[in-house]
Amino acid sequence: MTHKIILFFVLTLSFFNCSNDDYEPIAEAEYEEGEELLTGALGVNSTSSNAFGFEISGLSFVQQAEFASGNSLFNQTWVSSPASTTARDGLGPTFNARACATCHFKDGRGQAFINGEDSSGFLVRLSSPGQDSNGDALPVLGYGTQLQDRANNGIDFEAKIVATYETITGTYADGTPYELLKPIYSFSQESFGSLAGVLMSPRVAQQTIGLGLISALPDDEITKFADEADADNDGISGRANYVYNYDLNEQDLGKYGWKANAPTLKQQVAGALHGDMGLTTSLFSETNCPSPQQDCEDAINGGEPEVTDEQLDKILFYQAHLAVPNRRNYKEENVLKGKVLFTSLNCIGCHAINQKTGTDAASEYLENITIKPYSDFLLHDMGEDLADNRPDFLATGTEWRTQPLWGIGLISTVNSHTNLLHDGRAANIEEAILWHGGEAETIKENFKNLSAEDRENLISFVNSL
Amino acid sequence: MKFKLINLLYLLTISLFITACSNDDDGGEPSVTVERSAVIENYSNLVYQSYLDSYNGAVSLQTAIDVFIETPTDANFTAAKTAWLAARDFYGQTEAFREANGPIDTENESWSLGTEGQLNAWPIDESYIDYVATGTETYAGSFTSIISDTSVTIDEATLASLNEETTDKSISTGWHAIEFLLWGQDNTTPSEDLPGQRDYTDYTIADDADRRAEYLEAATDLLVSDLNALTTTWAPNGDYRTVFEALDEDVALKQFINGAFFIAGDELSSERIIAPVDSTDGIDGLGQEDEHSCFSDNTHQDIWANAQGVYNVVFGSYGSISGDSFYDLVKANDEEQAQKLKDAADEAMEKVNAIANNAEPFDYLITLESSTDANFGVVMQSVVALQDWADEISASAITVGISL
Repeated sequence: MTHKIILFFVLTLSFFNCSNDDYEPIAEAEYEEGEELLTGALGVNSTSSNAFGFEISGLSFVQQAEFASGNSLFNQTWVSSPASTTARDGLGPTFNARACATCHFKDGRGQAFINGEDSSGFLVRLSSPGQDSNGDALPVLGYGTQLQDRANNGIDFEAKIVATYETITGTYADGTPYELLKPIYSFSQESFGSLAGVLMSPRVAQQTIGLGLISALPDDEITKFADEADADNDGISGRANYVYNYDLNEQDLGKYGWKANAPTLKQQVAGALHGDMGLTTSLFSETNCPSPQQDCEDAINGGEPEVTDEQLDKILFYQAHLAVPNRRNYKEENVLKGKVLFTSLNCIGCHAINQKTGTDAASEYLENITIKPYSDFLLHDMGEDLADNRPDFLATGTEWRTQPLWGIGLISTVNSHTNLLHDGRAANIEEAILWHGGEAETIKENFKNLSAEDRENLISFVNSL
Repeated sequence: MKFKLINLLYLLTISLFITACSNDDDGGEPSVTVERSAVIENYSNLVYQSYLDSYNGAVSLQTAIDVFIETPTDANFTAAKTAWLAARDFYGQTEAFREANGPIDTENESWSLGTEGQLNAWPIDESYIDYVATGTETYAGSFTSIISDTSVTIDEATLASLNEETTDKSISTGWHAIEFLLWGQDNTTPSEDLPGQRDYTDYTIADDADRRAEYLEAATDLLVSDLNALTTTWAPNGDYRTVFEALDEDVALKQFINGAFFIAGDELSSERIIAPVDSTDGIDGLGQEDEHSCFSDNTHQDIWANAQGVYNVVFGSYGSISGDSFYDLVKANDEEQAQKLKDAADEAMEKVNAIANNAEPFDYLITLESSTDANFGVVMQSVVALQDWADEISASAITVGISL
C-alpha cells in the first residue's frame, strides 16, 4: 500500500515537472549559476558564529562608522535612569530585555521559552477582543499589548510566563513515527489583575539580516504573489496585511513581524524599543506604563525621547545594512535533489523568490537588487495547531506571515539552537515542516509521503539557505 | 666555560639551520625560519604573564580597599582610586586575548570561564547598584538599589547572581562597578577636566555606608577571584594552557591573532571610540559620558592599554617576555608585508598616544568631533589608524596561510 502511494506520488511529480518544462522528462537536479547568491553581490560568505553580523560590502568609511554606532546601540545594554551614560539610559521601567542583542543574540534568533528561566528572545503579545480606530489590537487593562516579565528595581514586573506541553504524534508514510510538543502558555504572579482568558500570542525574535532589502521592496513585489481567492487552485492563497503606519498616519502594507504587523523597519524597531525594552522614541513617545502601573509611571525616565532620532537612525542604518549570508553546500547532490523537491512539493508557493527592490531604500546599495528571501511576505492560514487565535490587523488567529528562509541553516551556528516557528516550538527544520497546516496541509502530507532519503534531501536544501 | 661551549653549539645549530633554510628563498637574503610552535609558546607565556600582572594589580587594589574600609579617610580613599588606575592598565592590555575562543569569553567548554561580562561589562547599571547623582538618594531608596535594599545579602555569590540573570550582559560587577563605587557619577562638565566627585563620607556617615563598603569589598573580591582563575588556567600546565597548546598550530595561531584583529578593528576602534564620538545625548547633549571609564575619566588610558595589548600580541613582547612572534612569522614569509604591519602598528600607537597624552580629556575631545567630519581630529584619526592596522593584521595572516 505504502509503495503504491509513493509510486503514484513520484509519477504525479514527474508529470507536473514534465508539464512545466515541455520536453524535459524530469527536472534535473542541477546547479544554476549564482543560485547561492541570495542577495546578489551584497551577500557575505561566512559560516562563523558572526554570520548574521556582517555589513554589506561597499560601505564608505563614514557609513561604516554609522553602522558601528548602530551596532553599539544594538548590542550594549540599556540601563535604568538616571545614569552617567545618559545616551544609554531609560531602560524600562518594565521590560523583556536590556539590549536588542539579548533577544537577537549576534543578530540572530531567540530561543523557545523554558519554564522557570527568564526569557531569552521570547515574549508574549496580549490583547482584548476587538480593534481600535487604527485597526490595531486593543490593550488589556493593566498590561497593554505586551507582557513585560522583568522590571527595574522597585518596580513590579507584570507577570511571569508558564508553559505546559501537549504531545502530538504522527507517522510518516514509511512508518516512521514522530512527536511534536505543543506549548500551551499561561501566566503566574500577575501583578495587575488576572490575565485569564486574554488573547495572547507568543513570539521569538527573528534574525535581523536583509531587513533593508525587505524595506526596499515595492508593495507590488509582494502583492504579485497574492492570490486571496486561490484563483490558481493550488490550495494556497496569501494576502497582504494592511496595518497602521504610526509615522505617516495611514494604512500601509505590513512587512515585518510574525504577523506582518509593522509596515516599516522604523516602526518595527521603534516598537521593539518601546515594547521590549521600555524605551521611548519620537514614534512611540509615551512611557509604556499601562494604567494602573503607578510606580512605573512615576519612575525617572531617560529623557524625552529616551532614544533620540539620531540614535534611532543609526540603529536603522545598522539593521538595514546587515548582510545576508550566501548559501553553502549548494552544489552537493542531496542539496540539489532537495531543491527540486522544494519546488515540486510547491514549498516555493509561499517561500517565494525573485523579488526586486525598488529605489526607495535606506541607501543606494540596496536599490534594484533581485533577492531570494524564500518568502512572499504574505499572510497564510497555517491551521489550528499553529494558531495563536489572536488577530493582528487583518491577520486572523490562524494566519502567519511566511518566514524568509535565508540564513536558516546558520541559526544553529550563530545561536547554538535550531528553534523555529513563531514561538520556537519546532526543535528543527523537520519539525517546522511537520507543524505546517492549513493552506500547507497538502504540502506537508506530501512531505510525509516522501522517502526518508528525500525528506533528508529536502531538509539539506533548506539548511543550505 | 661550560656556558661558552653551549653557546658555541647553539650558534652552530643556528648557522646550520639558516643554511638549510636558504633553499626556500629566491636568491635573496637568507631568512630565519620561525617555528609556529615557538610563536604559540611565546604567546602563551605572554598571556600568562599579562594575567598574572593584572591579578597582582587587582590584589593591590583589594589591599588598598581593605585599608580604606578599615580606616575610611580621604587619603585612603585616594589611595584606593590610585590602585584602581594602576591595576586597570594591566587589565586593559589583556583584552587583546578576547575573541580568541579562549576561556574568558566562551561558555560551553569544560575549560570555559565566560567571565568577561562579569569583569568588564559596560555600561553598568548605576542605579541598580547605588544612589546616583546627589539628590537621588531617596529615589534609590524607594526604588531599592542593591545597596539600599537591606533584604539583599551582599557577598560575592549574590553579586555574581544579580549581575548576570540569564543574559550575557552584565550590569553590576567588575571594573566599572568598582570604579563607580570609588568615584561616583561624573556630573561635571568636560571642560572642568574632573572625574566623579564621590565623597569618602559615603563610607562613613552617609545612608547605607556599611552596605556600600560591603558591596565595594565583595565586588573587588569577585574581580580578584575572576583574575585568579584566568591566571591559573593560563599558567604552565594550567587547564586552558594545556588545551591551547594542544590545538592544531594553525588553529591556535588563527585564534590568537583574531583576538588582536578584533580589538583593533572592532571593539576598540568602533565600539569604544566611534560610538562615543557619535553619541549625541549626554550632559548638555554632548554625550561625553558615553565612554568606558566615565566615572574616573580614565578612558584615554583604557584606549592606550587596549592598543598596547594588540601590539604585545603582534610583536610577542611584554615586560620580560620576548620571543618568536606573529610578526616574526610574517617577516619570515613576506618581508614587505611585515614592514606594512610594523608601519601600521607604529602609526596606530602614535595616534592612540595622541589621545592618551592629550592635554584635554577624552570626554572633552569627543565633543569636538564627529565621524562624518571632512577632516578628522585626533580621536577619529586613531580610528582610521586602528582599522588600517587591523587590515594589515588580516593581510599578514593570509601570508602565513591563515584566513581570519
